[in-house]
Amino acid sequence: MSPLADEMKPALAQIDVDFSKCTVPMTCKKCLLLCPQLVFQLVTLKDEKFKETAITDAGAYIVLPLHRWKCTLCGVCAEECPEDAITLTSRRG
Amino acid sequence: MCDFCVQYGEGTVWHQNPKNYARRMYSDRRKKADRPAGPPPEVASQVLHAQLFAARNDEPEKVPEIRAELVELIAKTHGGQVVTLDEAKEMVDLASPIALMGCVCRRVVRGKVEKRHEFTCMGLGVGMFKWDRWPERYKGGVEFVTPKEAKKWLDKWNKAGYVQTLMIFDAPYIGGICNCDYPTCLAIRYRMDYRLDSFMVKGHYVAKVDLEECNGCGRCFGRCQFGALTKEIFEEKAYVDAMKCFGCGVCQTSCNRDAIALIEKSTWPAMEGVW
Repeated sequence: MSPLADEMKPALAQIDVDFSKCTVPMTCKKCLLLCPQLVFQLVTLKDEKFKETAITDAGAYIVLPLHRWKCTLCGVCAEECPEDAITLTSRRG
Repeated sequence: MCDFCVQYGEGTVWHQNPKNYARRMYSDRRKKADRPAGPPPEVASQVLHAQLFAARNDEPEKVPEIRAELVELIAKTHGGQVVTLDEAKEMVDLASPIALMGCVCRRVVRGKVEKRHEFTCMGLGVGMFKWDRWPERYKGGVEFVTPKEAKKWLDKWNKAGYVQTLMIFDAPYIGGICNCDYPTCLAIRYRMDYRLDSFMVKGHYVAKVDLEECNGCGRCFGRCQFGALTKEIFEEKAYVDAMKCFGCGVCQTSCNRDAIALIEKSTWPAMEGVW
């Protein structure tokens, strides 16, 4: 962390993931693998006792841009997403 | 002595106290009346995480308050601490059973589901017999190993550059040894990027470079996951900032000239409060 850590700035990047297009992120996981800043994180929505969730189970997992403040708006996620589910915009307009 | 030693050490280093391996993972055995009010700690933690990310992204001025609350909760529930390779090897002699598994952080961060030969996480204690209750957490199953085999795995991970860390599941219960790096270990990342200090507490040692022995060969460069070890360009030697050092010893094990020593923090008075 930089010495100026207390001077935090809000995220400039707006990242929207369309979950109707991205339904089985663990079969693709391009955004997780390619993001240079590791902005995305996988979240498990379906978690049953004694039962492993199949990665092909639609809607069981989603990717969320949790660390959006680290995004440089390089655009690689939107570019590489095979479902065109990721939209990147700058909040500066 | 770190806070954990003061609270749970009973006169020894806390992770050398066998009592701290003897409870079940995350089972709250207190009577209902004795449990704190409000949601269970796992749920409270998730809510605070969500609030912290939202605040960091959009309203940074709210971060310090949420951070303070989360740091306190994590210290009591699911924090970690850096240990040296030797300390980790002592731990596998104390805890039983020992089980290997895939790293859950790398699964959520890089989508990596580790196969058996590439496991990077080690669970300790009787909780491991119940891993199938939480199959999403232990996706891909677990593999039970002997202490001797466990030490070989620790050597392998250390050689590769992973930092050995202990993981707490409801303090003071130690439930595993993680093998971490920045940025794919969430605990290290939360400490470095969000300054959630209790997620990964520094260990009991600091690295010290012997400037007469170090010849600047560079084997240790790049192994530090905490930004504490860099190359001092002018002297062409390794430089360690003791105030940033977490004491993992991953730089030391790469040195073939014995030019890096691990110093017990208690012998350097000003390091006593640096965790």
